[in-house]
Amino acid sequence: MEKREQLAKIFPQTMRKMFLKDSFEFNKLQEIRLRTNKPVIISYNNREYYVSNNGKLQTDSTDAYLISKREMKETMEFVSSYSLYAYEEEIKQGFITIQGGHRVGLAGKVVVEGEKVKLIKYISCMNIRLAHEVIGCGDKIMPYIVTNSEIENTLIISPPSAGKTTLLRDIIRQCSNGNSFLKGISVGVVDERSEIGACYMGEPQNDLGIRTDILDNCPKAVGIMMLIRTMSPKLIAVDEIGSKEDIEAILYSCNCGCSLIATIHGSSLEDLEKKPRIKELIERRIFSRFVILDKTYGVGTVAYVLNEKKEPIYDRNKNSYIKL
Amino acid sequence: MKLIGSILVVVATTLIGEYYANGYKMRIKYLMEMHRLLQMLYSEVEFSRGVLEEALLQMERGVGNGYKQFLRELSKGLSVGNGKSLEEHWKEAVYEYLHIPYLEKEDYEFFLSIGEALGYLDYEMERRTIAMYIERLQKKIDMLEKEVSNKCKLYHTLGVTIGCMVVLVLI
Repeated sequence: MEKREQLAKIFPQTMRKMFLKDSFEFNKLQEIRLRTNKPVIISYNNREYYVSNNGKLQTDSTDAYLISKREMKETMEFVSSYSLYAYEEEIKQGFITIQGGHRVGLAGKVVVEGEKVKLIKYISCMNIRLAHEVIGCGDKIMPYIVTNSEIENTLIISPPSAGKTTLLRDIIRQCSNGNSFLKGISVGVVDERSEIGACYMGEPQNDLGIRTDILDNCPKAVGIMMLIRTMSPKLIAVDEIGSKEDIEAILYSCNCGCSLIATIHGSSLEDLEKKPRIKELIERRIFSRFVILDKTYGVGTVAYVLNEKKEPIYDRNKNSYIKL
Repeated sequence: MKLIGSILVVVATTLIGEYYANGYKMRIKYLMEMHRLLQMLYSEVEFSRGVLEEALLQMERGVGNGYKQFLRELSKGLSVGNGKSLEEHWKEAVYEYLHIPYLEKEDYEFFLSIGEALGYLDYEMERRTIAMYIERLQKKIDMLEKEVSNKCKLYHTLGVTIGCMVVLVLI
């Protein structure tokens, strides 16, 4: 099924028809924002547009298509494949991953029990973030994170939406399949937010390589332990580390002889050193490579690659810039 | 000749009585099958928490022939996802693929109402809703089973009696 049609399945009839019109290129579509009784807003080619009643993209909000409460309910029914009950854990986290690996962020009335989110009901806002795999985006980074055919423990640092998960995904694929820098190794992925593999019914929708085992929707700390005990990975990959449990599991995995590659939100190494838990990881030299991304020349610009002594082995200001 | 004719009439009406008695028992059988289907749905929601489309295919393997096609086609309909609600998909599948002659109109209405209630509920609500339907169906089956011997006797007796009466009238 074509990607456009696959995504169209989550929309109610009217929107589906508009969406299936060839008035825009699917590959340039980044986000679709739905809010009850508000205009549908689309991020397309790094710009924001409204969708007109006849399905055209426009910058003017007059004649913009408004999504009704009933349509939001229907959309939720389609997003959850008529099985809202099956997505309760995901809804608690605020998103559902749909076929194609696209992520639907949800907002509405949050029911809290103790300090934990029990459920989100009366969902009135959705943000459909489209997954675009960039095969080969890690090519230019591989020489910096592989030494003597061994992958270095690497931490990818970037602000949100700067391409860290996209880069991580491609590095996983390359390590798993093997490339000119290293032979293929077994990779264990703990995909807590279903962003790396974008699994749908347990099956990764993104290419993670032939030697990759994935635990989907699994807490990182638990997943790392499970993988080490059961799948004997040579490399463990996780996205967005930060909690105390994550750090403990990472320390454990490093003592087990596994290499590790992880991502974290941040703008620089100094920024991370302000966080005590991460500081500990840096000081103990758990990571021997730090890849820092920013958006200077667009999403996925590599700013620096640092070694374990925090010395730059790649510097955007000195070398020709790398864009993923 | 009259004797043979009379015997034939009585045998025919007795068989009709037997047919109705059997139909009554078959209705219970298919309602029990429906009960089993709902229990499987409950288990799928409770334990596997798979999406409905998948759950229906799993259930197809465990139910009798009467409901198999309904489950298969409903699952297919949901996977196509043509913008219809679960209620609409369910209704279509019932009308097109669920043809059990022993079930009565009220049984079909009960079954249709299940489709109206599912699809948009959270885990706890979905579970409780299915449990409620199971309970309602169980009560119905219990009531029908309680009357099964009386009803069967009645159909048999009526079959023979009506046959005899027809013979008397004809003679």
